[in-house]
Amino acid sequence: MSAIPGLEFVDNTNQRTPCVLLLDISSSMSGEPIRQLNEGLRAFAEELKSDPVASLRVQVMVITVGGPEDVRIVQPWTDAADFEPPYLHANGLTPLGQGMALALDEIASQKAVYDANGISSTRPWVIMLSDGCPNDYGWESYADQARAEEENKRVIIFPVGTRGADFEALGRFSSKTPKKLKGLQFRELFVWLSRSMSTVSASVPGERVSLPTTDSWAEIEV
Amino acid sequence: MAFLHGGASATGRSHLDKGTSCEDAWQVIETDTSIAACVCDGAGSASHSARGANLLASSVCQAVIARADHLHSPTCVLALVEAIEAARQTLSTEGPLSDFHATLCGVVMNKEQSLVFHLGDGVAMGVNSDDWDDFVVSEPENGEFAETTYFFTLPGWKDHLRVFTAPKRYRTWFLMSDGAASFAVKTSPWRPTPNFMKPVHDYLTGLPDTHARNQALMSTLESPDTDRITADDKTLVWIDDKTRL
Repeated sequence: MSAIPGLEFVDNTNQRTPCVLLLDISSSMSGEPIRQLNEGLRAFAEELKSDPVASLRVQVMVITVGGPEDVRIVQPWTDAADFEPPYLHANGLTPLGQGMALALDEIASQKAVYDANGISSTRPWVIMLSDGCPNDYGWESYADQARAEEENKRVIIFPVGTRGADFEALGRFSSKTPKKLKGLQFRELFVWLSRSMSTVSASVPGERVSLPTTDSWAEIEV
Repeated sequence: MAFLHGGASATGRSHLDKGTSCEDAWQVIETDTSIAACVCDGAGSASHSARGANLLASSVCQAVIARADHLHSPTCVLALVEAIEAARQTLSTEGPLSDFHATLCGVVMNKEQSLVFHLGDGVAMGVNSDDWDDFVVSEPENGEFAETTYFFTLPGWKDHLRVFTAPKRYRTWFLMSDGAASFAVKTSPWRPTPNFMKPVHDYLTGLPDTHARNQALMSTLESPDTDRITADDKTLVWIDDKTRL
């Protein structure tokens, strides 16, 4: 028997999956690393837009640390369908603690917006990417706050470091062991991220989501 | 029989891709004077959630249909609670209860009223089919975030069991898992998707028997159109009091 005729299939799921990219663009990222990071962001945008569910449900914010303003929102919350990757330039120091604090503030504000408008949301993700170590005053307390938020299941934090990063410091921000990027495989990292966000944005209540493998971009866990 | 009904569970794309089976379950039991229906959604994170969903649906349906003449008294609610407790007891002998996580969404209708019971997500919607703007909804209950919900296997399940009675004019009911709800109902506020539920109702009332209605619903839920909306299992159950016709 065929399907019931005349039905309209509309995605009525009023749900968002927020994702903050917290990116270290300090001066040590200049040259090939920042070029690869920009390339990765482009791949991230393209991949997300190619997924019909993720493009509508995932919301992206990009925060940079370093650069001319230390901590800056270079992309406010936007639906993945409308996400145009910023072009980043390396400069400045690495105030990752302040960057994380801003990310958590923005996540809380956005959750309040969702709640006020009757929009459900999945747990927010923060991807923290660095090639160094936090050097802002009091970063440890911000890191502890982030870790507590994660333990209270209010956010999911993925610390990722490139070669030379301080993995012990990055690991303080999350209960998960930081991943080490293979070489400068930012593109592979962001393709993984978009596929993971696609999975999460289409996830179902109560389901433990199985994420794609990180083999394409991560070295063995440190 | 005084009622028409149909139901189907379609395996979601996420399970088809992994070669795993559907974790939703549904059940309908009718008598000459009443009908009971349940939809249970097994949690993907639980290894035997399909077993939990199946046992819960059948246990609860049997319990409430046996008390369907007493919807105006606490008798039916007590039977419902006892049935859930009994299912928990049975499953606890088979393994950790957390292996059997499932939600519950159901209704029992007699000639005078309906009793709706709900634990976790999914949607139950009763419609006055003479006026599709007149409907009643039991909404899903999620936690702080959309990927969480409540299961009959959790310690505090009674705190999340919601029960209400609906008046006689709601003679058509749709029960659905959250997968089907993603396209069958609209949110904020919860309401029927206009070009979905009424056409389903009209089509199903014209079919000759339950088998045909089940087949029509299954074909609909298996439609590729649903895959671009949800990767989840999809269950939809429809019941209707034909004596209103």
